[in-house]
Amino acid sequence: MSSKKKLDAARKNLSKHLQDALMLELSTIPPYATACYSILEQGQYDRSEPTIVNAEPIEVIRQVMVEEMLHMVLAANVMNAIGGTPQLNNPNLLPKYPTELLNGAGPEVRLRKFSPKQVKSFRKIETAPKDLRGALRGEYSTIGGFYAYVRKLLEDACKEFGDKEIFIGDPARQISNDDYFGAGGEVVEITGTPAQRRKAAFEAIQKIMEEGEGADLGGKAGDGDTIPGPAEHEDIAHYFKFNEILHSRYYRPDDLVTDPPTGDDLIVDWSAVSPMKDDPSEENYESAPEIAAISTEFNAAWSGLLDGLHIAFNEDKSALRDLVPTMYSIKSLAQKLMRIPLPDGSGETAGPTWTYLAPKKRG
Amino acid sequence: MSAIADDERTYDVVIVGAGFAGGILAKELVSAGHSVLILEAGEDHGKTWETYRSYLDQYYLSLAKTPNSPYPNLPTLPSPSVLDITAVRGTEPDTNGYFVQRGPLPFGSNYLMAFGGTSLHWLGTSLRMMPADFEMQSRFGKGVDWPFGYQDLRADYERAEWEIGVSADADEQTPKALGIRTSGRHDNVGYFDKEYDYPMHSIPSSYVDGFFAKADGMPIEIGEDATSTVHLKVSRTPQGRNSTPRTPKTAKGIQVGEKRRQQFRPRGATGPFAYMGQRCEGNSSCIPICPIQAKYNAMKTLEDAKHKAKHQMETITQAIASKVELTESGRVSGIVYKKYPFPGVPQHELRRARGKQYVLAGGAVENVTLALASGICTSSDELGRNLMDHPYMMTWGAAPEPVGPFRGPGSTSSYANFRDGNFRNKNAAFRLEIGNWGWNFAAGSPNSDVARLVEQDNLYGTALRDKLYHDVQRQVRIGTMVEQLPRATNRVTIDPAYRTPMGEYRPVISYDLDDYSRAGLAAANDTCAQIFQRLGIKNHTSYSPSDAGYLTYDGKGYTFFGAGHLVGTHRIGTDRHNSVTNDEMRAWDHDNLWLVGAGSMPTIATSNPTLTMSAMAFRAARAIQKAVRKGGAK
Repeated sequence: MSSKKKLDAARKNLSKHLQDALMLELSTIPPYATACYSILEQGQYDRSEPTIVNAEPIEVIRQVMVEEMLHMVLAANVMNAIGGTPQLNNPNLLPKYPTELLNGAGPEVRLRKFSPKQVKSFRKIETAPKDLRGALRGEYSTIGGFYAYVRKLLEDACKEFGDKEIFIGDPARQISNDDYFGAGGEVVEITGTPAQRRKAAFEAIQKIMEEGEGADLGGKAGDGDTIPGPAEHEDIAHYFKFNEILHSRYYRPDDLVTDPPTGDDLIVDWSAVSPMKDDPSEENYESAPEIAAISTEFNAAWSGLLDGLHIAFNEDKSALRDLVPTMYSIKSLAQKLMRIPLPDGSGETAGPTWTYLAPKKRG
Repeated sequence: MSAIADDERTYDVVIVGAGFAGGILAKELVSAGHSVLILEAGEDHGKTWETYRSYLDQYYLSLAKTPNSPYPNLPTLPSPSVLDITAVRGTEPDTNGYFVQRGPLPFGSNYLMAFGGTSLHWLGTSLRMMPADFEMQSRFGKGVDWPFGYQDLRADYERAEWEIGVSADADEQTPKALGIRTSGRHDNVGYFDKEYDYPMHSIPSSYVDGFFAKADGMPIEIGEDATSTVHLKVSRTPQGRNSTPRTPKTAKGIQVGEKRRQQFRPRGATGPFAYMGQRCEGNSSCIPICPIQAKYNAMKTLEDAKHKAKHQMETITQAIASKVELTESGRVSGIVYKKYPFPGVPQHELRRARGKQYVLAGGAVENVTLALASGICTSSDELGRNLMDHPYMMTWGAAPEPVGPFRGPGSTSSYANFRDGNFRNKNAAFRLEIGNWGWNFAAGSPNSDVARLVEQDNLYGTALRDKLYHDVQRQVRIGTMVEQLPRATNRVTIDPAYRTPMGEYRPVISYDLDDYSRAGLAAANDTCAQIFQRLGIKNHTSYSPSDAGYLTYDGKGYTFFGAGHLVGTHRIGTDRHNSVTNDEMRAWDHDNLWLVGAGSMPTIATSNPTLTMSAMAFRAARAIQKAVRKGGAK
């Protein structure tokens, strides 16, 4: 193979894995969001004290979710830096639930209501690999292992072909803190000289790994990142955030990963939750046109979000800002679905299916 | 009375009030290495996430979503409420609410006694004053001049804008860019420092703003002078809510005061919800509560102060400052406060806080009632006088097309054209604020529309929804905020006959609008009518003689409300005869006492007072630092 061909092949392989990374981050958002939205809000259940009992677990899951969004932006930045084309609205690549992450090699993710079972499955998603040796050969079954492999692919490519040949993407495509909400941490822009871009790219990948499973951090629950605000507390890696919910107790950043959390109480009420059907699908709504209509409305909003992200990563960064109202509609439509009992008499409610619809099918 | 227990620690500075001014003072003083105690009368809250969530719950559950509705209103510590405002008839004072209103007009404004103060429900408008506003007497023969000018406050404006986190673009905010024909020829020169810009970009304009911008360029005659004719221009309003941080043009950063600052980092919610609120998301409930704290509140600055030096900063809540005690030489020797353990129960313990310097920062009304109750600051006889507000008049109508109201912050733009001009020798200046929330404030929409369509028009189902959507989508509203002049008879006093269940004096308020302000209201009303005509808006405004704030001018009736901008009661000045404090907010009568807040402002002009008051807090903080150091050397 000529070196040009080899370079093309390496770049293609990198792009493919970064596209997988994008889809990986994206795949976690619907299950997390579904669990969050299934939690009943104030006024939707009887309590003598009319307060949001589950405000804390909602916030914990939401924090993980916004960090996944940040990771998606970081993955897109790396991909754009090497001249790839991030695809966000290709129905062939988008997740269909239930699904197994990492093209079947990773943990299963399902669309379920907020429950201990579901939070345990979230914890599994964010489990750190015990050993990276297999992962570095491409045999990974965890997100951490996958990113370790991506990092190695990038390292190898840079070594073999030189940074200049790898970082050929248009710097104008880099999402910056000016464009992105900034929640969950700062965006890493991959700009400058080829060497600077290589450094930034590794920084971005490292950030994704640390915030996710807390890999490589010396057995502490902290993720090395600071929670915004004057207190400068260290944030907790995702795995431990889910563990906080299961233990009804917050971690301290220097708690050991082998021990249970030792921080303040975190109040969880597993009963104040909509009884949403597990893994709802469009077939469930065939006999209920009213539900189907709302589901279509939801899917149209979700598809609009994906289209907007695709435009933001590929053409016009300012499209990101316009997605804020779309995210609000997604939330409100999802909650609307979860308030409607299914006609099958099971007592379960409908739920969002997170299906991408072609523009013509959006009603 | 039993002996008063002294607090163990003597602080460098004791501050009464944990609001805008108290927060900035505490942060500045603690940063300079001084110890600070804040006494806050409000219920112990705001420090944990549960309390902020409980505010939100209370807001969702409130039927009348007034500015104070989410927050605790203890019978023992009442805050004034807009629901208490009624017309004052005859000589009998109106005692409905916390205020005792002597009239002749009701004083319609409120504030909040809580940790964070009224910053919890402000709209976020962060306007600088105009240079003319500091020279009302010399330019127009009205009111008084300030002891310093616009340029003397400019660097403090910069500091305040970076503390609050104001979103605006400097090149859009000069008097010239706002379309103001200033009364001074050089007012536009150096309005902003060349090296300066706001920490964040402007909040995007709303669709409603774009609709009103269609009238841009329309000439409006104002005053008698042809040179005063202005051409309308919709301009964006600087706001204390998070948008996109500005990337400095050069690596040196942006010049703010004496410092170079790198890119601003938006400060989100306080406490464990730190991941929220780093950008405004358009929740559209800024008043009464921003659910994610993207809008600035003083709890953010107070939290910063706490983390600057944990042991130097103490806050005692549920502590009602009751009396400022003096030594024989007239220096303050302590502040007696009532510490109540159970919110809503009058039972309390009397305690005394001690410091080297003392600051009253409890707001324009509370500062006065405390000072009057303590018999201090009497020599000028200005204490409590010159109470000002922005009489707030609304004009509302139905646009000829849907304009998408009820989205975004309460207001994102205004017609600022009338904030200064030669006409100010005859009638008051004003600002026309374009509302984004339909007839919400004006008519209780959209809830009132539902009631009307169901009960009067017998609509239901799809027809109801369609009609509701049709009507509400066309709702537009302009809010007029007109300036008031300082008047000795507009005042806050106390009367032993009126006390709270805790035994504290209730504010007794006399209030009226002079012809200068009424002429301003009339001119604004006329301007709004012209704008409505030009844009084809069907006018639905109605003022009724039964309204609490009904008044007449030149044979026409208008209704005004309070804007929550309480100003002027302990003004700064050039000597002890015309003012309560000097230009650094140090009391003329008491060497180690300072009165800081919007009460310090000699005139109100047309800008919402928060930014100016915050800038002045920076000015006071420097002087207090000097005083503490000097006192320590003795």
